[in-house]
Amino acid sequence: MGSDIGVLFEREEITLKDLKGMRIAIDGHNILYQFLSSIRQADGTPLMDRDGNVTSHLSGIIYRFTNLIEAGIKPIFVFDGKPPDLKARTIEKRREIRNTAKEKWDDAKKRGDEEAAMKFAKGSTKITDDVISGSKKLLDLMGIPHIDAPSEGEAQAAHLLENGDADLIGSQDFDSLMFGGEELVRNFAITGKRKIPGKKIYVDITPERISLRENLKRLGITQEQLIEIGILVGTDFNDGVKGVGAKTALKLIKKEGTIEKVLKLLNVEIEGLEEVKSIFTNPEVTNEYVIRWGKVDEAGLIQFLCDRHDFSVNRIEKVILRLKSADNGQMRLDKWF
Amino acid sequence: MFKGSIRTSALRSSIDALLAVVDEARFNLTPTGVSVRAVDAANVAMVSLELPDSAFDAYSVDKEVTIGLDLSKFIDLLKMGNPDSICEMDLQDSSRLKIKMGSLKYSISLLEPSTIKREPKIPEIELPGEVILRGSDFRQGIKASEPIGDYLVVGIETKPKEIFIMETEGDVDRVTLELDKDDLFSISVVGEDAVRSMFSIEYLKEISKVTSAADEVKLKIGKDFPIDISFAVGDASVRYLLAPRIEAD
Repeated sequence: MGSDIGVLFEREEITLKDLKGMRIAIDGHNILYQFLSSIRQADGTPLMDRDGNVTSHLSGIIYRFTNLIEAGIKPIFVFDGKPPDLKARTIEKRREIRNTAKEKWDDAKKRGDEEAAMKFAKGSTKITDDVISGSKKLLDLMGIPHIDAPSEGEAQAAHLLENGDADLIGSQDFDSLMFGGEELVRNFAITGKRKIPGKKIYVDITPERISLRENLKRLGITQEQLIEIGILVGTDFNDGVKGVGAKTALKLIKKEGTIEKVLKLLNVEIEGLEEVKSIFTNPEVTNEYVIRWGKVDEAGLIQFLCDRHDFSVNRIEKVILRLKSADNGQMRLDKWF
Repeated sequence: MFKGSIRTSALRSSIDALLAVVDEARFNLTPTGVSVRAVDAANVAMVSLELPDSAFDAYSVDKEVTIGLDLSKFIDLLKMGNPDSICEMDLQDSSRLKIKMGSLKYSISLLEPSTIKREPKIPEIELPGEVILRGSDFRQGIKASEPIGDYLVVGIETKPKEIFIMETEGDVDRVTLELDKDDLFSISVVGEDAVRSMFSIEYLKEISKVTSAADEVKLKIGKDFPIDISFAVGDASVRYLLAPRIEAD
Protein backbone atom coordinates (compact mmCIF):
# COMPACT_ATOMS: atom_id res chain seq x y z
CA MET A 1 0.00 0.00 0.00
CA GLY A 2 2.64 2.50 -0.95
CA SER A 3 5.71 3.69 0.85
CA ASP A 4 5.48 4.17 4.62
CA ILE A 5 6.82 7.72 4.76
CA GLY A 6 3.75 9.54 6.10
CA VAL A 7 5.36 10.35 9.44
CA LEU A 8 7.72 12.80 7.73
CA PHE A 9 5.03 15.16 6.51
CA GLU A 10 3.44 18.10 8.25
CA ARG A 11 -0.27 18.29 7.47
CA GLU A 12 -2.66 21.19 7.53
CA GLU A 13 -6.08 20.33 8.93
CA ILE A 14 -8.80 21.62 6.63
CA THR A 15 -12.55 21.33 6.17
CA LEU A 16 -14.53 20.36 3.09
CA LYS A 17 -15.37 24.05 2.72
CA ASP A 18 -11.71 24.81 2.02
CA LEU A 19 -11.93 22.45 -0.96
CA LYS A 20 -14.79 24.31 -2.63
CA GLY A 21 -14.23 24.67 -6.36
CA MET A 22 -11.14 22.44 -6.28
CA ARG A 23 -10.54 19.77 -8.87
CA ILE A 24 -9.27 16.70 -7.05
CA ALA A 25 -7.49 14.00 -9.04
CA ILE A 26 -8.54 10.94 -7.08
CA ASP A 27 -6.48 7.79 -6.83
CA GLY A 28 -9.32 5.50 -7.96
CA HIS A 29 -8.00 2.17 -6.70
CA ASN A 30 -7.09 3.71 -3.37
CA ILE A 31 -10.57 5.11 -2.74
CA LEU A 32 -12.33 1.95 -3.92
CA TYR A 33 -10.16 -0.05 -1.55
CA GLN A 34 -11.21 2.26 1.29
CA PHE A 35 -14.88 1.82 0.46
CA LEU A 36 -14.66 -1.95 0.00
CA SER A 37 -12.76 -2.49 3.23
CA SER A 38 -14.74 -0.11 5.43
CA ILE A 39 -18.33 -0.31 4.21
CA ARG A 40 -19.22 -3.66 5.77
CA GLN A 41 -21.64 -5.18 8.25
CA ALA A 42 -20.52 -6.01 11.79
CA ASP A 43 -19.30 -9.53 10.89
CA GLY A 44 -17.34 -8.19 7.95
CA THR A 45 -19.83 -9.11 5.23
CA PRO A 46 -19.80 -6.43 2.51
CA LEU A 47 -22.98 -4.87 1.16
CA MET A 48 -24.48 -7.07 -1.55
CA ASP A 49 -27.44 -7.12 -3.89
CA ARG A 50 -29.80 -10.08 -4.06
CA ASP A 51 -27.57 -11.86 -6.60
CA GLY A 52 -24.61 -11.69 -4.22
CA ASN A 53 -22.72 -8.94 -6.09
CA VAL A 54 -20.70 -6.72 -3.75
CA THR A 55 -22.04 -3.15 -3.74
CA SER A 56 -19.98 -1.49 -0.95
CA HIS A 57 -17.98 0.53 -3.47
CA LEU A 58 -21.13 1.73 -5.26
CA SER A 59 -22.59 2.82 -1.95
CA GLY A 60 -19.39 4.71 -1.16
CA ILE A 61 -19.33 6.47 -4.50
CA ILE A 62 -22.97 7.51 -4.62
CA TYR A 63 -23.35 8.71 -1.02
CA ARG A 64 -19.91 10.05 -0.15
CA PHE A 65 -19.28 11.71 -3.48
CA THR A 66 -22.68 13.36 -3.43
CA ASN A 67 -21.52 15.03 -0.20
CA LEU A 68 -18.34 16.17 -1.91
CA ILE A 69 -20.09 17.46 -5.02
CA GLU A 70 -22.56 19.31 -2.81
CA ALA A 71 -19.57 20.96 -1.14
CA GLY A 72 -18.54 22.27 -4.56
CA ILE A 73 -15.66 19.81 -5.07
CA LYS A 74 -14.93 18.62 -8.60
CA PRO A 75 -13.63 15.03 -8.51
CA ILE A 76 -11.68 13.38 -11.32
CA PHE A 77 -11.06 9.64 -10.90
CA VAL A 78 -7.73 8.30 -12.10
CA PHE A 79 -7.52 4.52 -12.38
CA ASP A 80 -4.34 2.43 -12.47
CA GLY A 81 -3.26 0.97 -15.77
CA LYS A 82 -0.70 -1.78 -16.26
CA PRO A 83 1.53 -2.04 -13.18
CA PRO A 84 5.29 -1.72 -13.68
CA ASP A 85 6.96 -5.18 -13.85
CA LEU A 86 8.68 -4.52 -10.55
CA LYS A 87 5.30 -4.45 -8.80
CA ALA A 88 4.74 -8.16 -9.49
CA ARG A 89 6.17 -9.23 -6.16
CA THR A 90 4.01 -6.77 -4.22
CA ILE A 91 0.95 -7.93 -6.11
CA GLU A 92 1.76 -11.59 -5.36
CA LYS A 93 2.32 -10.76 -1.70
CA ARG A 94 -1.02 -8.95 -1.51
CA ARG A 95 -2.74 -11.96 -3.05
CA GLU A 96 -1.25 -14.25 -0.38
CA ILE A 97 -2.25 -11.88 2.42
CA ARG A 98 -5.77 -11.70 1.00
CA ASN A 99 -6.13 -15.46 0.74
CA THR A 100 -4.94 -16.04 4.29
CA ALA A 101 -7.24 -13.29 5.53
CA LYS A 102 -10.19 -14.87 3.71
CA GLU A 103 -9.60 -18.21 5.47
CA LYS A 104 -9.25 -16.54 8.86
CA TRP A 105 -12.38 -14.49 8.23
CA ASP A 106 -14.46 -17.61 7.52
CA ASP A 107 -13.02 -19.21 10.62
CA ALA A 108 -13.78 -16.18 12.82
CA LYS A 109 -17.33 -16.02 11.49
CA LYS A 110 -17.85 -19.68 12.44
CA ARG A 111 -16.57 -18.95 15.93
CA GLY A 112 -18.84 -15.90 16.16
CA ASP A 113 -15.91 -13.58 16.89
CA GLU A 114 -17.15 -10.42 15.20
CA GLU A 115 -14.15 -8.25 15.91
CA ALA A 116 -11.73 -10.75 14.38
CA ALA A 117 -14.14 -11.35 11.52
CA MET A 118 -14.20 -7.63 10.69
CA LYS A 119 -10.44 -7.39 10.85
CA PHE A 120 -9.84 -10.31 8.49
CA ALA A 121 -12.70 -9.32 6.23
CA LYS A 122 -11.00 -5.98 5.65
CA GLY A 123 -7.75 -7.77 4.92
CA SER A 124 -9.45 -9.90 2.28
CA THR A 125 -10.61 -6.86 0.27
CA LYS A 126 -10.05 -7.33 -3.43
CA ILE A 127 -10.58 -4.92 -6.30
CA THR A 128 -11.93 -7.04 -9.14
CA ASP A 129 -12.57 -6.05 -12.75
CA ASP A 130 -16.29 -6.00 -11.93
CA VAL A 131 -15.65 -3.48 -9.15
CA ILE A 132 -13.78 -1.22 -11.57
CA SER A 133 -16.28 -1.47 -14.41
CA GLY A 134 -19.26 -0.97 -12.05
CA SER A 135 -17.57 2.07 -10.52
CA LYS A 136 -16.86 3.62 -13.93
CA LYS A 137 -20.46 3.05 -14.99
CA LEU A 138 -21.72 4.78 -11.83
CA LEU A 139 -19.30 7.71 -12.29
CA ASP A 140 -20.59 8.17 -15.84
CA LEU A 141 -24.17 8.27 -14.58
CA MET A 142 -23.24 10.85 -11.93
CA GLY A 143 -21.36 12.97 -14.48
CA ILE A 144 -17.99 12.51 -12.75
CA PRO A 145 -15.02 12.27 -15.16
CA HIS A 146 -12.58 9.37 -14.97
CA ILE A 147 -9.40 8.60 -16.85
CA ASP A 148 -7.19 5.54 -17.21
CA ALA A 149 -3.52 5.95 -16.37
CA PRO A 150 -1.07 4.15 -18.63
CA SER A 151 0.56 2.77 -15.46
CA GLU A 152 0.44 4.03 -11.87
CA GLY A 153 -2.66 6.14 -11.11
CA GLU A 154 -0.85 8.39 -8.64
CA ALA A 155 1.81 9.25 -11.23
CA GLN A 156 -0.90 10.25 -13.69
CA ALA A 157 -2.69 12.26 -10.97
CA ALA A 158 0.54 14.16 -10.28
CA HIS A 159 0.80 14.77 -14.03
CA LEU A 160 -2.71 16.31 -14.09
CA LEU A 161 -1.56 18.82 -11.47
CA GLU A 162 1.54 19.59 -13.47
CA ASN A 163 -0.62 20.23 -16.54
CA GLY A 164 -2.91 22.51 -14.55
CA ASP A 165 -5.89 20.16 -15.03
CA ALA A 166 -6.33 19.41 -11.32
CA ASP A 167 -5.63 21.30 -8.11
CA LEU A 168 -5.05 18.48 -5.64
CA ILE A 169 -4.40 14.75 -5.49
CA GLY A 170 -6.79 12.73 -3.36
CA SER A 171 -5.30 9.60 -1.83
CA GLN A 172 -4.55 8.05 1.56
CA ASP A 173 -1.09 6.99 0.34
CA PHE A 174 1.90 9.30 0.16
CA ASP A 175 3.34 7.90 -3.07
CA SER A 176 1.94 10.78 -5.13
CA LEU A 177 4.41 13.05 -3.32
CA MET A 178 7.23 10.79 -4.51
CA PHE A 179 5.81 11.19 -8.02
CA GLY A 180 6.14 14.96 -7.57
CA GLY A 181 2.47 15.74 -6.91
CA GLU A 182 2.48 19.22 -5.39
CA GLU A 183 -0.61 19.06 -3.21
CA LEU A 184 -2.13 16.01 -1.54
CA VAL A 185 -5.42 15.82 0.33
CA ARG A 186 -6.27 12.89 2.60
CA ASN A 187 -9.37 11.84 4.56
CA PHE A 188 -11.71 13.79 2.31
CA ALA A 189 -14.10 10.97 1.48
CA ILE A 190 -14.37 9.24 4.83
CA THR A 191 -16.51 10.88 7.44
CA GLY A 192 -16.50 11.21 11.18
CA LYS A 193 -14.82 8.53 13.20
CA ARG A 194 -12.46 5.71 12.45
CA LYS A 195 -11.72 2.72 14.62
CA ILE A 196 -8.12 2.15 15.56
CA PRO A 197 -7.24 -1.35 14.36
CA GLY A 198 -7.33 -3.97 17.09
CA LYS A 199 -8.65 -1.56 19.72
CA LYS A 200 -12.07 -0.37 20.73
CA ILE A 201 -11.01 3.25 20.32
CA TYR A 202 -12.43 5.66 17.78
CA VAL A 203 -10.64 8.75 16.58
CA ASP A 204 -12.04 11.72 14.68
CA ILE A 205 -10.70 11.98 11.20
CA THR A 206 -10.66 15.27 9.40
CA PRO A 207 -9.44 16.18 5.93
CA GLU A 208 -5.81 17.21 5.80
CA ARG A 209 -3.74 18.88 3.13
CA ILE A 210 -0.06 18.26 2.51
CA SER A 211 2.09 20.55 0.43
CA LEU A 212 5.10 18.86 -1.14
CA ARG A 213 7.18 21.98 -1.60
CA GLU A 214 6.68 23.26 1.94
CA ASN A 215 7.54 19.87 3.38
CA LEU A 216 10.67 19.44 1.30
CA LYS A 217 11.76 22.87 2.40
CA ARG A 218 11.09 22.13 6.06
CA LEU A 219 12.86 18.78 5.86
CA GLY A 220 15.74 20.36 3.98
CA ILE A 221 15.77 17.73 1.22
CA THR A 222 15.26 17.66 -2.53
CA GLN A 223 12.53 15.83 -4.43
CA GLU A 224 15.10 13.24 -5.45
CA GLN A 225 16.14 12.69 -1.87
CA LEU A 226 12.49 12.15 -0.90
CA ILE A 227 12.30 9.40 -3.51
CA GLU A 228 15.49 7.87 -2.12
CA ILE A 229 14.07 7.94 1.41
CA GLY A 230 10.96 6.16 0.14
CA ILE A 231 13.07 3.53 -1.57
CA LEU A 232 15.10 2.91 1.60
CA VAL A 233 11.88 2.43 3.56
CA GLY A 234 10.38 0.27 0.80
CA THR A 235 7.91 0.94 -2.02
CA ASP A 236 5.48 -1.11 -4.07
CA PHE A 237 8.45 -1.77 -6.36
CA ASN A 238 11.18 -2.77 -3.91
CA ASP A 239 11.71 -4.14 -0.41
CA GLY A 240 13.18 -1.57 1.91
CA VAL A 241 16.29 -1.94 3.99
CA LYS A 242 15.50 -3.99 7.08
CA GLY A 243 15.26 -1.90 10.23
CA VAL A 244 15.21 1.42 8.37
CA GLY A 245 12.05 3.46 8.93
CA ALA A 246 11.21 6.85 7.50
CA LYS A 247 12.90 8.92 10.21
CA THR A 248 16.10 6.89 10.08
CA ALA A 249 16.10 7.07 6.30
CA LEU A 250 15.72 10.85 6.45
CA LYS A 251 18.66 11.14 8.83
CA LEU A 252 20.82 8.87 6.70
CA ILE A 253 20.01 10.61 3.42
CA LYS A 254 20.60 14.05 4.91
CA LYS A 255 23.92 12.95 6.32
CA GLU A 256 25.20 10.98 3.35
CA GLY A 257 23.51 12.92 0.55
CA THR A 258 22.57 10.05 -1.73
CA ILE A 259 21.05 6.58 -1.48
CA GLU A 260 24.14 5.02 -3.01
CA LYS A 261 26.30 6.32 -0.17
CA VAL A 262 23.75 5.20 2.43
CA LEU A 263 23.64 1.70 0.98
CA LYS A 264 27.41 1.56 0.96
CA LEU A 265 27.51 2.69 4.57
CA LEU A 266 25.00 0.02 5.59
CA ASN A 267 26.67 -2.50 3.32
CA VAL A 268 23.41 -3.58 1.66
CA GLU A 269 22.02 -3.53 -1.86
CA ILE A 270 18.62 -2.77 -3.31
CA GLU A 271 17.73 -4.86 -6.30
CA GLY A 272 16.97 -2.84 -9.43
CA LEU A 273 17.66 0.48 -7.68
CA GLU A 274 17.99 2.52 -10.88
CA GLU A 275 14.79 1.07 -12.30
CA VAL A 276 12.84 1.80 -9.11
CA LYS A 277 14.17 5.35 -9.09
CA SER A 278 13.13 5.92 -12.66
CA ILE A 279 9.57 4.75 -11.94
CA PHE A 280 9.33 7.84 -9.72
CA THR A 281 11.54 10.31 -11.56
CA ASN A 282 10.38 9.41 -15.03
CA PRO A 283 6.95 7.82 -14.62
CA GLU A 284 4.83 6.56 -17.48
CA VAL A 285 2.08 9.16 -17.95
CA THR A 286 -0.06 10.40 -20.79
CA ASN A 287 -1.43 13.68 -22.13
CA GLU A 288 -4.16 11.79 -23.98
CA TYR A 289 -7.09 12.32 -21.68
CA VAL A 290 -10.37 14.17 -21.65
CA ILE A 291 -11.86 15.66 -18.49
CA ARG A 292 -15.50 16.61 -18.79
CA TRP A 293 -18.04 17.00 -16.02
CA GLY A 294 -21.33 15.69 -17.32
CA LYS A 295 -24.99 15.89 -16.35
CA VAL A 296 -26.66 13.61 -13.82
CA ASP A 297 -28.48 10.74 -15.58
CA GLU A 298 -31.54 10.30 -13.36
CA ALA A 299 -33.16 7.37 -15.11
CA GLY A 300 -29.81 5.66 -15.55
CA LEU A 301 -29.00 5.95 -11.85
CA ILE A 302 -32.35 4.48 -10.77
CA GLN A 303 -32.01 1.65 -13.27
CA PHE A 304 -28.40 0.81 -12.34
CA LEU A 305 -28.51 1.28 -8.57
CA CYS A 306 -32.11 0.37 -7.69
CA ASP A 307 -33.29 -2.05 -10.37
CA ARG A 308 -30.02 -3.85 -10.82
CA HIS A 309 -28.28 -3.54 -7.44
CA ASP A 310 -31.20 -3.24 -4.98
CA PHE A 311 -30.51 0.24 -3.59
CA SER A 312 -33.53 1.96 -2.02
CA VAL A 313 -35.40 4.02 -4.63
CA ASN A 314 -36.38 6.49 -1.94
CA ARG A 315 -32.80 7.21 -0.89
CA ILE A 316 -31.44 7.37 -4.42
CA GLU A 317 -34.16 9.80 -5.49
CA LYS A 318 -33.06 12.12 -2.67
CA VAL A 319 -29.44 11.78 -3.72
CA ILE A 320 -30.36 12.69 -7.30
CA LEU A 321 -32.10 15.85 -6.09
CA ARG A 322 -29.01 16.84 -4.11
CA LEU A 323 -26.70 16.13 -7.04
CA LYS A 324 -28.84 18.19 -9.39
CA SER A 325 -29.03 21.20 -7.12
CA ALA A 326 -25.31 21.07 -6.33
CA ASP A 327 -23.28 24.11 -7.11
CA ASN A 328 -22.03 23.27 -10.59
CA GLY A 329 -22.86 26.41 -12.54
CA GLN A 330 -19.79 28.33 -11.40
CA MET A 331 -17.23 28.58 -14.20
CA ARG A 332 -13.50 28.88 -13.61
CA LEU A 333 -11.23 31.48 -15.17
CA ASP A 334 -8.91 28.85 -16.64
CA LYS A 335 -11.54 28.20 -19.27
CA TRP A 336 -10.42 31.52 -20.82
CA PHE A 337 -6.66 31.24 -20.28
CA MET B 1 17.12 45.53 -2.54
CA PHE B 2 14.03 47.68 -2.08
CA LYS B 3 13.24 50.86 -0.21
CA GLY B 4 9.99 52.76 -0.42
CA SER B 5 7.76 55.11 1.49
CA ILE B 6 4.09 55.60 0.89
CA ARG B 7 1.12 56.94 2.79
CA THR B 8 -0.13 54.20 5.12
CA SER B 9 -3.74 54.67 3.98
CA ALA B 10 -2.75 54.21 0.30
CA LEU B 11 -0.91 51.00 1.07
CA ARG B 12 -3.84 49.78 3.14
CA SER B 13 -6.33 50.25 0.33
CA SER B 14 -4.02 48.40 -2.08
CA ILE B 15 -3.75 45.45 0.31
CA ASP B 16 -7.52 45.51 0.92
CA ALA B 17 -8.02 45.27 -2.85
CA LEU B 18 -5.96 42.06 -2.95
CA LEU B 19 -7.64 40.64 0.16
CA ALA B 20 -10.98 40.65 -1.64
CA VAL B 21 -9.66 37.64 -3.58
CA VAL B 22 -6.62 36.08 -1.83
CA ASP B 23 -4.95 35.81 1.60
CA GLU B 24 -1.40 35.68 0.36
CA ALA B 25 0.29 36.94 -2.78
CA ARG B 26 3.57 37.38 -4.62
CA PHE B 27 4.75 40.96 -5.02
CA ASN B 28 7.05 41.76 -7.92
CA LEU B 29 9.25 44.71 -7.06
CA THR B 30 10.77 46.25 -10.18
CA PRO B 31 12.55 49.55 -10.81
CA THR B 32 9.31 51.07 -12.17
CA GLY B 33 6.96 49.91 -9.44
CA VAL B 34 5.20 47.07 -7.64
CA SER B 35 2.89 44.63 -9.38
CA VAL B 36 0.81 41.77 -8.05
CA ARG B 37 -1.33 39.24 -9.88
CA ALA B 38 -3.16 36.50 -8.03
CA VAL B 39 -6.05 34.11 -8.46
CA ASP B 40 -8.17 32.58 -5.70
CA ALA B 41 -7.92 28.90 -4.78
CA ALA B 42 -11.00 27.97 -6.80
CA ASN B 43 -9.75 29.81 -9.92
CA VAL B 44 -12.90 31.91 -10.03
CA ALA B 45 -11.54 35.39 -9.35
CA MET B 46 -8.33 37.12 -10.33
CA VAL B 47 -6.91 40.38 -9.05
CA SER B 48 -4.08 42.45 -10.43
CA LEU B 49 -2.59 45.49 -8.78
CA GLU B 50 -0.21 48.01 -10.31
CA LEU B 51 1.47 50.35 -7.90
CA PRO B 52 3.85 52.50 -10.00
CA ASP B 53 6.83 54.23 -8.40
CA SER B 54 4.87 57.51 -8.71
CA ALA B 55 2.44 56.19 -6.06
CA PHE B 56 5.31 56.29 -3.56
CA ASP B 57 6.89 59.33 -1.91
CA ALA B 58 10.22 57.62 -2.34
CA TYR B 59 10.97 54.43 -4.23
CA SER B 60 14.09 52.52 -5.17
CA VAL B 61 14.78 48.98 -6.31
CA ASP B 62 18.34 48.13 -7.23
CA LYS B 63 17.57 44.55 -8.23
CA GLU B 64 14.23 43.08 -9.28
CA VAL B 65 12.86 40.82 -6.60
CA THR B 66 9.72 38.83 -5.81
CA ILE B 67 8.53 38.58 -2.24
CA GLY B 68 5.64 36.64 -0.67
CA LEU B 69 3.29 38.36 1.77
CA ASP B 70 0.70 37.04 4.19
CA LEU B 71 -1.88 39.73 3.45
CA SER B 72 -4.08 39.22 6.51
CA LYS B 73 -1.10 39.61 8.79
CA PHE B 74 0.17 42.60 6.81
CA ILE B 75 -3.14 44.47 6.91
CA ASP B 76 -3.46 43.87 10.65
CA LEU B 77 -0.19 45.58 11.31
CA LEU B 78 -0.86 48.39 8.83
CA LYS B 79 -4.03 49.10 10.81
CA MET B 80 -1.83 49.71 13.85
CA GLY B 81 -0.28 52.75 12.19
CA ASN B 82 -1.91 56.13 11.75
CA PRO B 83 -3.55 56.19 8.28
CA ASP B 84 -2.01 59.60 7.61
CA SER B 85 1.46 58.46 8.58
CA ILE B 86 4.12 57.60 6.04
CA CYS B 87 4.91 53.91 5.88
CA GLU B 88 8.61 53.36 5.27
CA MET B 89 9.61 49.93 3.98
CA ASP B 90 13.06 48.46 3.75
CA LEU B 91 13.89 45.07 2.26
CA GLN B 92 17.44 43.82 2.77
CA ASP B 93 16.90 40.21 1.81
CA SER B 94 13.85 38.44 0.40
CA SER B 95 12.88 36.82 3.70
CA ARG B 96 12.39 39.84 5.95
CA LEU B 97 10.77 43.26 5.57
CA LYS B 98 11.26 46.21 7.88
CA ILE B 99 8.35 48.62 8.22
CA LYS B 100 8.24 51.93 10.04
CA MET B 101 5.07 53.93 10.62
CA GLY B 102 5.68 56.96 12.85
CA SER B 103 7.30 55.61 15.99
CA LEU B 104 6.14 52.05 15.28
CA LYS B 105 8.71 49.69 13.85
CA TYR B 106 8.05 46.18 12.57
CA SER B 107 10.32 43.53 11.23
CA ILE B 108 8.18 40.86 9.57
CA SER B 109 9.10 37.52 8.07
CA LEU B 110 8.00 36.99 4.48
CA LEU B 111 6.60 33.90 2.79
CA GLU B 112 8.69 31.88 0.40
CA PRO B 113 7.17 32.95 -2.97
CA SER B 114 7.31 29.42 -4.38
CA THR B 115 4.85 28.25 -1.70
CA ILE B 116 2.21 30.68 -2.96
CA LYS B 117 -0.18 29.69 -5.73
CA ARG B 118 1.31 30.43 -9.12
CA GLU B 119 0.52 33.69 -10.89
CA PRO B 120 -2.23 33.19 -13.45
CA LYS B 121 -1.90 34.11 -17.07
CA ILE B 122 -4.16 36.98 -18.12
CA PRO B 123 -7.06 35.56 -20.11
CA GLU B 124 -7.40 36.93 -23.60
CA ILE B 125 -11.00 37.90 -23.89
CA GLU B 126 -12.90 40.57 -25.71
CA LEU B 127 -15.87 41.95 -23.87
CA PRO B 128 -18.32 43.92 -26.04
CA GLY B 129 -20.11 45.84 -23.26
CA GLU B 130 -18.62 48.65 -21.21
CA VAL B 131 -20.01 50.90 -18.48
CA ILE B 132 -18.34 53.39 -16.21
CA LEU B 133 -20.27 54.07 -13.03
CA ARG B 134 -19.80 55.40 -9.53
CA GLY B 135 -18.24 52.90 -7.10
CA SER B 136 -21.02 53.66 -4.63
CA ASP B 137 -23.73 52.76 -7.20
CA PHE B 138 -22.05 49.44 -7.95
CA ARG B 139 -21.86 48.73 -4.24
CA GLN B 140 -25.55 49.59 -3.80
CA GLY B 141 -26.62 47.16 -6.52
CA ILE B 142 -24.73 44.34 -4.84
CA LYS B 143 -25.78 45.23 -1.31
CA ALA B 144 -29.44 45.29 -2.36
CA SER B 145 -29.04 41.80 -3.86
CA GLU B 146 -27.43 40.12 -0.85
CA PRO B 147 -30.63 39.40 1.11
CA ILE B 148 -32.50 38.29 -2.02
CA GLY B 149 -30.36 35.56 -3.57
CA ASP B 150 -26.91 34.13 -4.23
CA TYR B 151 -26.41 35.17 -7.86
CA LEU B 152 -26.47 38.46 -9.61
CA VAL B 153 -26.97 39.18 -13.30
CA VAL B 154 -25.05 42.14 -14.71
CA GLY B 155 -26.05 43.34 -18.15
CA ILE B 156 -26.48 46.10 -20.69
CA GLU B 157 -29.50 46.53 -22.94
CA THR B 158 -29.58 48.92 -25.89
CA LYS B 159 -33.21 48.70 -26.96
CA PRO B 160 -35.27 50.81 -26.67
CA LYS B 161 -32.48 52.77 -24.93
CA GLU B 162 -29.12 52.09 -23.40
CA ILE B 163 -29.49 50.87 -19.87
CA PHE B 164 -27.26 49.15 -17.32
CA ILE B 165 -28.92 46.47 -15.19
CA MET B 166 -28.03 44.59 -12.02
CA GLU B 167 -30.61 41.98 -11.11
CA THR B 168 -31.02 39.21 -8.56
CA GLU B 169 -33.79 36.68 -8.42
CA GLY B 170 -34.25 34.60 -5.29
CA ASP B 171 -36.70 31.76 -4.73
CA VAL B 172 -39.50 34.23 -4.10
CA ASP B 173 -38.12 37.76 -4.35
CA ARG B 174 -36.45 39.82 -6.98
CA VAL B 175 -34.45 43.06 -7.02
CA THR B 176 -33.35 45.20 -9.96
CA LEU B 177 -31.09 48.22 -10.16
CA GLU B 178 -31.30 50.12 -13.44
CA LEU B 179 -29.08 53.02 -14.42
CA ASP B 180 -29.42 54.90 -17.69
CA LYS B 181 -27.04 57.20 -19.51
CA ASP B 182 -27.72 60.10 -17.16
CA ASP B 183 -26.72 58.08 -14.09
CA LEU B 184 -23.53 56.75 -15.69
CA PHE B 185 -20.23 58.20 -16.86
CA SER B 186 -20.50 56.15 -20.05
CA ILE B 187 -22.20 53.10 -21.56
CA SER B 188 -21.58 51.24 -24.81
CA VAL B 189 -21.96 47.86 -26.49
CA VAL B 190 -20.07 46.92 -29.64
CA GLY B 191 -21.74 44.65 -32.18
CA GLU B 192 -24.48 43.28 -29.89
CA ASP B 193 -27.95 44.44 -28.84
CA ALA B 194 -27.49 43.24 -25.29
CA VAL B 195 -24.99 41.49 -23.04
CA ARG B 196 -25.52 39.74 -19.73
CA SER B 197 -23.61 37.40 -17.45
CA MET B 198 -24.36 35.99 -14.01
CA PHE B 199 -21.99 36.03 -11.04
CA SER B 200 -21.77 34.73 -7.51
CA ILE B 201 -22.65 37.46 -5.01
CA GLU B 202 -20.20 35.93 -2.54
CA TYR B 203 -17.36 37.16 -4.74
CA LEU B 204 -18.92 40.43 -5.87
CA LYS B 205 -19.62 41.40 -2.28
CA GLU B 206 -15.93 41.38 -1.38
CA ILE B 207 -14.93 43.19 -4.55
CA SER B 208 -17.59 45.89 -4.24
CA LYS B 209 -16.46 46.75 -0.71
CA VAL B 210 -13.18 47.78 -2.26
CA THR B 211 -14.61 49.55 -5.29
CA SER B 212 -17.10 51.53 -3.21
CA ALA B 213 -14.34 54.03 -2.38
CA ALA B 214 -13.57 54.64 -6.06
CA ASP B 215 -15.14 57.59 -7.90
CA GLU B 216 -15.28 55.67 -11.16
CA VAL B 217 -15.46 51.93 -11.73
CA LYS B 218 -15.20 50.48 -15.21
CA LEU B 219 -17.09 47.26 -15.95
CA LYS B 220 -16.61 45.23 -19.11
CA ILE B 221 -19.30 42.67 -19.77
CA GLY B 222 -19.90 39.87 -22.27
CA LYS B 223 -22.45 37.12 -22.80
CA ASP B 224 -21.77 34.41 -20.20
CA PHE B 225 -18.21 35.67 -20.02
CA PRO B 226 -16.02 36.83 -17.14
CA ILE B 227 -16.59 40.38 -15.95
CA ASP B 228 -13.67 42.80 -15.96
CA ILE B 229 -13.84 45.31 -13.10
CA SER B 230 -11.20 48.03 -12.95
CA PHE B 231 -10.62 51.24 -11.05
CA ALA B 232 -7.89 53.54 -9.87
CA VAL B 233 -7.10 54.84 -6.42
CA GLY B 234 -4.62 57.67 -6.68
CA ASP B 235 -1.79 56.36 -8.83
CA ALA B 236 -2.60 52.72 -8.11
CA SER B 237 -4.75 50.71 -10.48
CA VAL B 238 -6.68 47.58 -9.61
CA ARG B 239 -8.36 45.11 -11.92
CA TYR B 240 -10.53 42.09 -11.16
CA LEU B 241 -11.66 39.32 -13.45
CA LEU B 242 -14.49 37.16 -12.18
CA ALA B 243 -15.68 33.98 -13.91
CA PRO B 244 -19.42 33.75 -14.54
CA ARG B 245 -21.97 31.22 -13.46
CA ILE B 246 -23.88 29.61 -16.23
CA GLU B 247 -27.58 30.35 -15.87
CA ALA B 248 -29.82 27.30 -15.46
CA ASP B 249 -31.95 26.39 -18.49
